[in-house]
Amino acid sequence: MDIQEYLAHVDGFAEAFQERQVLEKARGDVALPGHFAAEVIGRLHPREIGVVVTEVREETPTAKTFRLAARDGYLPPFRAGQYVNWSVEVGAVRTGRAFSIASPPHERGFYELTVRRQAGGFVSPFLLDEVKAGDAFTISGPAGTFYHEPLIDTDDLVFLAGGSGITPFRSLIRETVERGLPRRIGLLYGSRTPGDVIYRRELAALARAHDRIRVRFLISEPPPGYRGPRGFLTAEAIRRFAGSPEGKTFFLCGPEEMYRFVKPELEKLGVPRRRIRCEASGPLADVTKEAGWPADAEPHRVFQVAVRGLRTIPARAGEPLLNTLEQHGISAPSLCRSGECGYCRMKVLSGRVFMPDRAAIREADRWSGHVHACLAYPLSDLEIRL
Amino acid sequence: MHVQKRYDAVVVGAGLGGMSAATFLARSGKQVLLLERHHVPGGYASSFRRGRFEFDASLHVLSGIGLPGQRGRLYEYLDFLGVAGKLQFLPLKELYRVVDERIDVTLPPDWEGTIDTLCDRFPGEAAKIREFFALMKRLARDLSGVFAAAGRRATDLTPESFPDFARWGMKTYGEVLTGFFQDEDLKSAVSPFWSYLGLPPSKVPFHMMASCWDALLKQHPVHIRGRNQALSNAFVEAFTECGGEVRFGCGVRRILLKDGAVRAVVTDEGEEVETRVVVSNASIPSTLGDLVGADQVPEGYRRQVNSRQVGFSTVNVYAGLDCPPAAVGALVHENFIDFGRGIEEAWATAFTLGAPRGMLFTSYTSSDPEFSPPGTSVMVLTAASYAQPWYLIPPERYVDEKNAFAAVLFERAERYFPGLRDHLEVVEVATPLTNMRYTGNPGGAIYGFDQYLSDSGLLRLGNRPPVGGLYFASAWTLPGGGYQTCMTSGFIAGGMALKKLQ
Repeated sequence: MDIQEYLAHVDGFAEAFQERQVLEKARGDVALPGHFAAEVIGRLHPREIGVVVTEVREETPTAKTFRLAARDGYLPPFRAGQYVNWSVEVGAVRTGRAFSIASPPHERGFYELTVRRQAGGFVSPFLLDEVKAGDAFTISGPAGTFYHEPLIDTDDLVFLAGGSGITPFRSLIRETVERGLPRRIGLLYGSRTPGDVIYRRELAALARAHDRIRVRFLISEPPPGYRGPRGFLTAEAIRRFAGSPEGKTFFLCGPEEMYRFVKPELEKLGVPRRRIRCEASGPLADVTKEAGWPADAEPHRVFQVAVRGLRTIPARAGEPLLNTLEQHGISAPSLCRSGECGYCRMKVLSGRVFMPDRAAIREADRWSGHVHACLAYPLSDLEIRL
Repeated sequence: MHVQKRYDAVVVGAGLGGMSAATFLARSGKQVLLLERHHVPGGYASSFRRGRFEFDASLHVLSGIGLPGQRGRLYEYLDFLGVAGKLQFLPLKELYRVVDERIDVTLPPDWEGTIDTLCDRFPGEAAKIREFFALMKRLARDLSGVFAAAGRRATDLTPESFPDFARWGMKTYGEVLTGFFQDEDLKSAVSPFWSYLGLPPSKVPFHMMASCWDALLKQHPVHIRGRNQALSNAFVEAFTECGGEVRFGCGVRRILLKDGAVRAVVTDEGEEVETRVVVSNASIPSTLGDLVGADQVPEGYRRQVNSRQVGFSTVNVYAGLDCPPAAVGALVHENFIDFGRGIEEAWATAFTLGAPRGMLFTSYTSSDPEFSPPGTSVMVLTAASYAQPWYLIPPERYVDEKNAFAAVLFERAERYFPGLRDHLEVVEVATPLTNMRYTGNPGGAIYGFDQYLSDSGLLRLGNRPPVGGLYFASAWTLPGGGYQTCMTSGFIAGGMALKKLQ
C-alpha cells in the first residue's frame, strides 16, 4: 500500500486530518493583511521618516535647534536619549549624521535636533548655513541604547556632558520634570567657553524650578574675569558636585576625548562599570590619536579600494571608509556612524584596515574580516564587498 | 550595484533555511543569488552587541553535530557544504537542568546517563522510564521511515509498517506521559522540550518530542564558538566560495510569474532578476501574500495556508552581568526554571501580556568561558509569548509593557540565581514584535506555524507549493522549527530545486 493507505491505519491520523479539513473550511478565507509584519513594525520602528523643518532656533553663535515634523503626521515614540540619523545631500554627496533627539518623548508632534558647527566638518556647516524652515528631509527611526533603563539603572543620576553632548540630556531632564518621574538628576556640563554653552538659560531655569534637578556649568577656557566654576570633569570636580557616587548612575555624552579623560576619573571614584552609561561618541576627530593607530601610518596616504562588483576608488588612510564611499557616490547603509550599530558592516576581502577597539564588531565578524566602515581606516590597498 | 540579471536560482532571505538551500545549490554548480533585507546574515541565527557583551539572539542548543568520531547528520551535511570546517563546536556538559520548588534535576547529554539520572530520582517508575525512552528512540526512527516512504512514494507499505508510529505517533506528548507515569514531578522533569517545539504537552505531537529527544541525545549536543553568527558567517563564506552572489540590505519585493511558474524577482531596489527557481526563506504567508500575490495562488492551497496558526513566539531578556556565572549560582548552560506542573498554564499565559511562571534561563558563559569578557557573564531569560496582545499596545506604552514583563522574569529568576539583579550591566528586552522586526515573520513566530498534530509531519505544508519553480526553506514548512530542522528544510528545498534545474 502507499503512504495514504498506510496512514489510515495510524491511530489518531484520521482525527488530525479531519481537524485539518475543519480548519480549512472555517478559517480558509481569513488571510493576514498584506505586508502585515512591515505594517505593524512601521509604527514602532520605521526605517525612514519623511520630515519637514518647521522651525529653526539659534542656541549659540555656533549651534542651532531644528524642529522636524513628520510629513505624514506620524512620528514614532522614542526613549529620551535616543538619536536619529539625518540624511542629507551636500553637493553631490549623499550622507547622514546621527543627532540625539533634544526634545522630550512626550512632545509627540516633532523631534528637535540641535546641531553645532564642527571645525572642519562636512555636514554641520551645510545644516547650519543652508537649512531653513520648509525644507524636506528623510531621517531614520529613533535608535540607540543611551537611555535611562529602569530595569537596571538607579533613579539617582549624574549626567556628565561635554560640548554638544548636552543634547540627549535636555530630553532626559525635560522628560523627568514634565512627566514627574521619580529621578534625581545632577548635570555637570563642561564647555570650552561660556559662549559654547547650549541651552544655558533653559537648563538654569529648570534647575531653579525643580529641587530634583541640579545643574553646574564648567568652563575649561574661561575668559578673563569669568567667575563661574572652571576646569575639567575631574574626579575631584565630579565628587564636589555629586557627592558620594554610591547608588548613582552616571551618564556620559560628549566627544571621544572626554570619554578618554572622564572614564579613568570615574574609576578613581570607584564607580562600578554597570553604573556608567556612555553614548556612542560619533565620528573620530582625529584617528591618529587612537590607541593602536600604527606609528608609521600616514593619514594622508591614499590607497586604492576596489569595491567588488562596482569600481575602484582612491581612499585616504585618515578618512573612514564609509565617508570615502559616500564621496564617490557609493551608497552604503549607516545609522550611528560611531562603530556601534553595525549597519555599515562590510567585508574586507584583502588588505589591512585600522579599526579602534570600541568598534562594536561581532566576534565572528572580526574573524571573517568584517568591518564597520564608519570606523574603518585603510592601511593598504583594499578589496571590499558591500 | 551591478547584478547579473539572470540566475539559475534566487534565494529570498539569508536565514538558516535560505543559506542552506543557497549553499546547497551553489555547491551543486548552480548560479545563485541570495538576497537578504537585513545587513547581517542569519535571521534568528545572528548575534548582536551591547556594551562589552555580545548576545546570541536565539541558539540554545544545537543538535545533529556530535563529537569528533561520532558526528551526526547535520555535521555531515555542513561538512559537505564546506561550512563545518570553518566552525568550532563546543560540547555541552549537560543536557539541561530542570528546577522548580519541588525538583532540581540535571540531565547529562546522553541516553543512558539521562535514563539513569531519572531512574535514580524517580526509582518507583524506573521500569517505565526505560520503556518510555526506548519507545521514543524507536518512534524517532519510525518517523524518519515514514518521511522517507512518503518521499520515495513507496507502495510496499503494510499496516504493520512502522508499528510505533502507527500506535503512538499521532498522540500528544501529554497523552503518552499520562499513560506511562504517575509522578507529576517526573512528567515535569521530562517535558521542558515543549519550549523547543512551541506547544505544551497537551498539544505537542509525541512524534515531534521523540524526535527532539532523539536529536539531542543521539549525538552530543553542542554550542558554537563565536555564537550562532559564526554559523551564519560560515554559510555565507562557503556560499560565496562556490561562486554564489549575496547582497545584504536588499530584499525581494515581488516574485513574478508567467503561466503559473516563476519567471523573475523584483528586488527592493527595483531591479528585475530573471530566474526559473525561487527558494523562499521568508514566511509562507508573506511569500504568497506579499511576493507572489494571493491571486496567483490556487484557492485550495490558499485555504490551507490561511487555516494554519501563526505560531509561538518569545520574550527574550538578554542580560550582561559584571560577575562570573558561578557568582549567581549559574552552573548549567540550559535551565528550565519554575515550569513545575504549570507548562499548560505558561502556554496559556503566552496569549496575554502577563509574564508566565516558567521560563528558560540560558547561561552561555557557563558552557563557554570565552562567551563574555573575563569576570562577566551572559544570561538570557526566555518566556513564551504570542504576538497578538503585543499588537494592541499603543506604541507609547510598548517600553513600559515589555519592561514590566522583564521585571517579573528577573524577580522569578532571582529565586534560583540570587544576586542576579545586583550584577546587571546591560539589559535588552526583545518581544515577539522584535522577532517580527528582524525576521519579517508574522507574529514574530520562531517555529513557523504552530506544530499541532494537524500541522506537523505529513500534515505540515510541504516545501513545494503549487507555483512552478517556487520552494520553501524555513521553519514554516517541513520538517519544522528549529536549527537543525531549518537547515534540513534548505536541503530538501535545494534538492527539489536542483531537480527542476537539471
